[in-house]
Amino acid sequence: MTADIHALTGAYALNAIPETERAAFERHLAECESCAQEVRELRATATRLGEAASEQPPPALKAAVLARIAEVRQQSPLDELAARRQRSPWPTRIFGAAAAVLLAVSVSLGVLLVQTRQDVDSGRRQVAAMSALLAADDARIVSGSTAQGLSGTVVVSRHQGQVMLLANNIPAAPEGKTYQVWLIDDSPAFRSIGVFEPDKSGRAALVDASGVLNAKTIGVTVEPDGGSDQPSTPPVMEMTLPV
Amino acid sequence: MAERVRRITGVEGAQAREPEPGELLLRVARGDEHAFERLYDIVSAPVFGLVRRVVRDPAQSEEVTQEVMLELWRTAARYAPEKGSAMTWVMTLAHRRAVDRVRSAQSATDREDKAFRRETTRPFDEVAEQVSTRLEYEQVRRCLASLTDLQRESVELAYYRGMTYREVSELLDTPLGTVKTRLRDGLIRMRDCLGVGR
Repeated sequence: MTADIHALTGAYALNAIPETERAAFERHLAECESCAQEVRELRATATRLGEAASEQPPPALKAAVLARIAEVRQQSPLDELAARRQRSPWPTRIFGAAAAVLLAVSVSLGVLLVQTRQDVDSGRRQVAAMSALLAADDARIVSGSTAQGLSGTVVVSRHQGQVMLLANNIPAAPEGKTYQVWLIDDSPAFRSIGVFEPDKSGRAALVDASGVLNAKTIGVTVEPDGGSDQPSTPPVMEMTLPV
Repeated sequence: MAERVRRITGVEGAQAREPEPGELLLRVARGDEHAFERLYDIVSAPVFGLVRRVVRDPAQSEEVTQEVMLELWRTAARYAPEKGSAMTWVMTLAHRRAVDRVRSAQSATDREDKAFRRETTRPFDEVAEQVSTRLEYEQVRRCLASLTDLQRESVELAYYRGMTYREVSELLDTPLGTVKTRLRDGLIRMRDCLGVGR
């Protein structure tokens, strides 16, 4: 990868990378162990900056928080999926736009998965990037769901070379694993467009602008943390891309 | 309930004998409310201080801090010790929440509104001053001082103000590539100066 994208480790560690560039950089991270290591170190460094700004919160906050935890259920890896079914879907304006062009779908689901590391809760910030893609003249949208309640929506603009995957009700990946997204049946046969982890509500989003080209299918596999060069497991979800 | 509101004092001396946050998180993941209370005592000041720095508004900062603490309670099982310290995990989460709060508040207005840029120019001095006077750790202050002006401004605007590097670039009227590089080499210099992760 280029020195230019490598230079983003600092911005990424500071959470200062625009949402539209996050997926591309995370793809780079998946392929670059030294970058991932650098990000870990720079995050630890940023933590020191944060700690240096310590300030006691008002004492009443502690009572409020302790009172609230009595009402908040903890996520337990094995029943996350059930808990997620009740939570809200993606913002309705995205579904509103998406509903306009529903096409054929094939979704299949394999494994039931547990537990991940941290919350990527970036859905809100991705809305702007998504809106731009949805506005593309040739944007096509496919959407589907499984009996188990997992669902996915894919938006493709072949002119813009952009593809976006929104997924819902996704269980957290197992410890040490991550979800990786592939464009399939192009050249090469499997091309990674990034890794993701569902947020606390089981949602995930990934926008890729590296060029859809002639890919026919988009698939999601479970891979070791950091991602793989080639899929090492069967897809947990696959969708046919509109032409 | 009121008697639980006891303010924690003398934290400096006690801290060394406190269980590590990572150990507490593991217990919290198993539903240990007492461990959560101790975790709160350790992380609430760093979390609140960071959130305050980014969000500024005291009431909103309290809300965000509460969200962060509840999220720690809810998702403690996700903490993976091999990926970094518990404090880094907590502070990364806190920073993200704080940034989410300011960016969602901004996005409604700042896209076409160039007044936003004029408005942001002024508070920088104020932030820089607050940060520099409030830094509790001499070492961090000293290390920040060892950065070039551009490195330090870039890092502070990104981290303490929650700006993207693109916003930093506009505000400082400096090319994007330069800001990216300064954020990285500024942090690397901080890392080496603080002896982090080495």
